[in-house]
Amino acid sequence: MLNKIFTPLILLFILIIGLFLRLYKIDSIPPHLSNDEISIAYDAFSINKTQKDEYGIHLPLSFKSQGSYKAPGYAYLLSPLFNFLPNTDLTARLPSIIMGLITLLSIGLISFYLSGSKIIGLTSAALLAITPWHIFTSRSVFEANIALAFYSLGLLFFIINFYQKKYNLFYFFISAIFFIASIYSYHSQWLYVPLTIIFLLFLLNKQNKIKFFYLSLCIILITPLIFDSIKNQNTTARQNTQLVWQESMVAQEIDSTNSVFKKIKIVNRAITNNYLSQIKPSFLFFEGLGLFKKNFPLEMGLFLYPFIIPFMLGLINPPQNINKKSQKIIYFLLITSPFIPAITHGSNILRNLIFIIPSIIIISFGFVKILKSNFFIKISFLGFLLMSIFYFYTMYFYQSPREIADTYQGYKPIVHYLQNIEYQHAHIHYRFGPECRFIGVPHYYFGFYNYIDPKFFHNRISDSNGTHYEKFSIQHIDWNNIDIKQNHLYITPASNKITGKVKDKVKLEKEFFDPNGYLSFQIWKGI
Amino acid sequence: MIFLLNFITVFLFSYLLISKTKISNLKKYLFFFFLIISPIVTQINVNSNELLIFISISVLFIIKEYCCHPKIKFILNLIILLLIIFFINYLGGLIDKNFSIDSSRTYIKDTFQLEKISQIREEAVYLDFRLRKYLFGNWLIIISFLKRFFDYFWFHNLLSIINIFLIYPLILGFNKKNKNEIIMLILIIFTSIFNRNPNNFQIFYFSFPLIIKIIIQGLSTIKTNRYVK
Repeated sequence: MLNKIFTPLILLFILIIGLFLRLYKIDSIPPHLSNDEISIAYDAFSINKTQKDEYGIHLPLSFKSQGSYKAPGYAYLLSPLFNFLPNTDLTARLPSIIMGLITLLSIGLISFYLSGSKIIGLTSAALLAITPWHIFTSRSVFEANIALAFYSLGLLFFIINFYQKKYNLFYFFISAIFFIASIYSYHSQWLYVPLTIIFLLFLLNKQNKIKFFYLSLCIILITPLIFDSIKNQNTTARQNTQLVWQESMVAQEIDSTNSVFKKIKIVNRAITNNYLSQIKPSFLFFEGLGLFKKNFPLEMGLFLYPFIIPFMLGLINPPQNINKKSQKIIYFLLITSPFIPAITHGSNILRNLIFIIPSIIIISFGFVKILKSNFFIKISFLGFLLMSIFYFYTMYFYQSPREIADTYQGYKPIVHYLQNIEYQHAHIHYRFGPECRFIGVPHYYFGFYNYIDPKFFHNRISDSNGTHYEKFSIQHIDWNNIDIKQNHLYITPASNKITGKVKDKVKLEKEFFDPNGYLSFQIWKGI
Repeated sequence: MIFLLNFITVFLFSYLLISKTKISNLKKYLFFFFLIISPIVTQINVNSNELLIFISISVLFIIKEYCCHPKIKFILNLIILLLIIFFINYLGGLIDKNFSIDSSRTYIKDTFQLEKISQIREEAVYLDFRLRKYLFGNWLIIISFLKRFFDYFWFHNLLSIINIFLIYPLILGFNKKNKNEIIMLILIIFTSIFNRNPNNFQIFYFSFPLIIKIIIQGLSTIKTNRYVK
């Protein structure tokens, strides 16, 4: 049905739509790089300039960051971009956008190979292009998004072999590289990639030489990371804190009993609850994206609202012509991918990102069935789909930035303002938001947007008064106990109200407002 | 006493229902084993009113199952459905003592949700005001309503009644053979979530006869010869 010219044209159209949804207003939505995003961006910048991370460690395989010991994939992908692109939000998010587009192609191809249908392949790519979950992750500096791209490529090159007349070692070689790249990109893949590889190797009947080649290659590629983890115990220590039995409530319950049986029961219950929460219909289709505070009526799911219909259709009644191997792969991904977020605490849409692969394939099965149904059903569904795209678009691009404006750090406009004025030293309050509720990381923002030489960062001084580098001090500004100096700037959140005698020693230099129109930051200048 | 009466009702009801179906003894034993360790028996926490309602619904259901006349069967189905809906909403406070609906307890009057929708409508200045009125109307509360609806079908709630091992036959039971029970269950949940704070346990406790019917039908479709060679 789809000829050789028509298929690439549709694919190109899908990619253009995908690119538009991932690039539109990228410099302002999400309004700022978050704590994790900015720390990755600064580390990448630092690697580019000095081949060292912000702590002065030479080409690390685990970035200490703010104590979170991040996987190295994203920083190393981003780093070369600073040779020819400026330090902006767009540059920082560019690897995620590009890998997001690659994921559209790879999941489309996976669907095509598993279903044997070009229409299902194209539908998968098209549906993924408009899926809120993937748009959301592709528009931010998320390691999970990079890992998803590598994982899907690894899977694609592996399953291509099932549909060739003869197994091709080159495809296995490429597949192993991508799977291991996925582990280098995101810590959660440490568990899931080996599980996938074992499962896929089981599907290779009596191909012991290939199995041996594949496993050996994987072990060789992963060895540096294993050695680094053994050497750097902090990485594994940080990962262990994320496990479900470390969660405060579960840990408390475990501590309250001496019976081993009861302890196992508590952990088992926590894992089961987590697992079921990850695949709960309301979470997947109505509220999982978490764009707003709780109980917001137009909260978005990980998938668009109407996708629940093709998801159920595809699950209950998959296409008959799919072979057993393909079925096994789809159901394996569907059942096992939520296990990783299940054994870690919290409902985390990033750790569960692999779940997007089987879900999109199943949704496209159902979607194609709807397209083949009668005119009335088809038109009603497409109308419903267009409406939900409109609601996602308005909620994500207009409503959400306002609703959660107070949770964002507004340091970017401050940095840009400071670049155009003269001052001797800037003191920046380390907290932000209403009642100074949130702990920020202003040193990254001032370092990144000001192109501050990483050498200043490596030699920064941290003492009881705060962190000091170049002409910035990140500290707690207590207006009652601060020595105001002439030509010094004092940058504080609006909630840290100026009091007492210092009022006469400073003048208001500039005020900054959040996307909601509320006063968020003030700059005071010593006179 | 309540525990005992509840146990007898659950057991007797299930026995009468399963004896109508042609399934192997192995399946029967397994079914009763998992039923006995299900929360509906082990963690029962009901008052006498709830138990009485449960017994009457179970009795009516059994009469319906053993009745051959399709018209009477249909009427009994309707009575059971209305009884369950009525009692869930009466005990949940949605229907008051004068048998009128207490609109303040309905979900569609949720002021927080309605206020938020009106806020979105006011702030959507990027749209023409005539469009805003329709696109961001109060009808959007349907989305929250659908979210609640799909949540009720999730395992969390079902596990408050049945053992996890009965979930598999329950899923298999969702087929054309149980069309009536499935429609009834959907209607019961749909009407129950009109209540702002529905009692999850009551919904599934009163609907237990329908659920167990679906499980038994699902059990009959499991092909044991795949596993026992």
